[in-house]
Amino acid sequence: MAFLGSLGTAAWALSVVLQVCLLGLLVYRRNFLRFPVFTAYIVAAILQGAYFVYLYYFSHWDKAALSEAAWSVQGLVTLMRVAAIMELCHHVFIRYPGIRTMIFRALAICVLVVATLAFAFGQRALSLKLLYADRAVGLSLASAIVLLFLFARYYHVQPREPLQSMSIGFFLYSCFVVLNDSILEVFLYTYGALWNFLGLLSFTASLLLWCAVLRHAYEEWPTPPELLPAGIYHDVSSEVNLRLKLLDERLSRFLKRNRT
Amino acid sequence: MTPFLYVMAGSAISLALLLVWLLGRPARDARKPWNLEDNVSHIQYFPQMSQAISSLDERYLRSRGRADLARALRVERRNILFTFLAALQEEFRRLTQLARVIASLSPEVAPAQEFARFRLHLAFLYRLQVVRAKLRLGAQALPELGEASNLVSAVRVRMDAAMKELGERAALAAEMASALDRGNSNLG
Repeated sequence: MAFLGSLGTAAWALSVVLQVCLLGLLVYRRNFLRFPVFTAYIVAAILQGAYFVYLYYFSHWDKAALSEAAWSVQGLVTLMRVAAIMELCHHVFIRYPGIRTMIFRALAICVLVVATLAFAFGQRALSLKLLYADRAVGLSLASAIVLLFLFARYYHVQPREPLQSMSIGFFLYSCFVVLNDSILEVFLYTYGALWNFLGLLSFTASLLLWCAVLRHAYEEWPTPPELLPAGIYHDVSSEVNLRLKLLDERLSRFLKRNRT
Repeated sequence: MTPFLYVMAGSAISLALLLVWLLGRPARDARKPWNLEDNVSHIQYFPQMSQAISSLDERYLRSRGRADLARALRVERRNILFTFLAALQEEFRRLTQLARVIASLSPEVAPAQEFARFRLHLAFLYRLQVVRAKLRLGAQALPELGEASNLVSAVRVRMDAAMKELGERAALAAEMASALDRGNSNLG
């Protein structure tokens, strides 16, 4: 796997170039005003790269210390990624304040539950706990994005570009983190170099997608949303639910009667 | 290879497939576009359905030695009943769709109610399928169908009354519901 050394360096260099290009696009098109958290995430990723260069080429720490330092920075960048995805969710449902609050809560619960489950099921070796945490966050973010699109479809909300493609970029990267980390867990010693390389490639693919969709300025909605009075929802919704419940109970009773 | 690796890989691939499905355009709705002003409810056909499901005619024909005619009558009437069930389901779908549009246009929603409606809608669809299966097996489901029809009718009446209170804004919601029904919405 010696060839991966130069290939990995090339992939890393390409990734840094794309990150800088994306940051330039965000500033040039003034999209950083609409997506401040996403911009902060890209800045954090660039700083992370610079920090890695310092760690691996200029510091004289031992391998364990290097690994801990690298993972701690990765943790911060992952938190930024979570915040950036939440920002996208906010933009998708920006005109629907009622369901947006509910969807935010559902996504937060989904992220917590999936992350806890993925972390708990994989916790066998203490030395791999950072890997498990990374994978758990990846799986929970991928689930959250799918849930976001599920809600959008359920409420007939069509996510506009670039929101849709940005979400897909995050999804692809998160999914790949899950797969990559799972394979690394099994082939820890032989897969390390390839793991780094494939991780970089998947992030580069997401960067390409984001660059492509953010080359245009994102326009906010020109007019505020037309909302219904709050009382209408409560009247209609509770009535529909009551009738549905009654209907369900009566159908259920019918089935029981037929069974007996 | 560990089982956990398969679980993780399976989860990631399932999520990817689900996302592909979600990103695909919803199937174009070939049904007639629906407007709130269309006050035609399938409930008005319920007396005819009562007649269709009644076994009195069938028994009379059998008593007269016309078993073949009774069988044909039964098959025809069963088909009519299935069509009625489908119409009932469609009417229900439209009402719940309108409830979703109202939820999305409201400044605040109750998550418990939204979840309850989603769960009840699934339960309703499930039970409707069971009723259909039982009808295919020859069970008589008329009283329960009557209750179901009344419930759908009541929901419709209440929804219409609520929407009339909205004036100009109601017109907007109705337009959106109609546009959604045609499958060409672009709300986000």
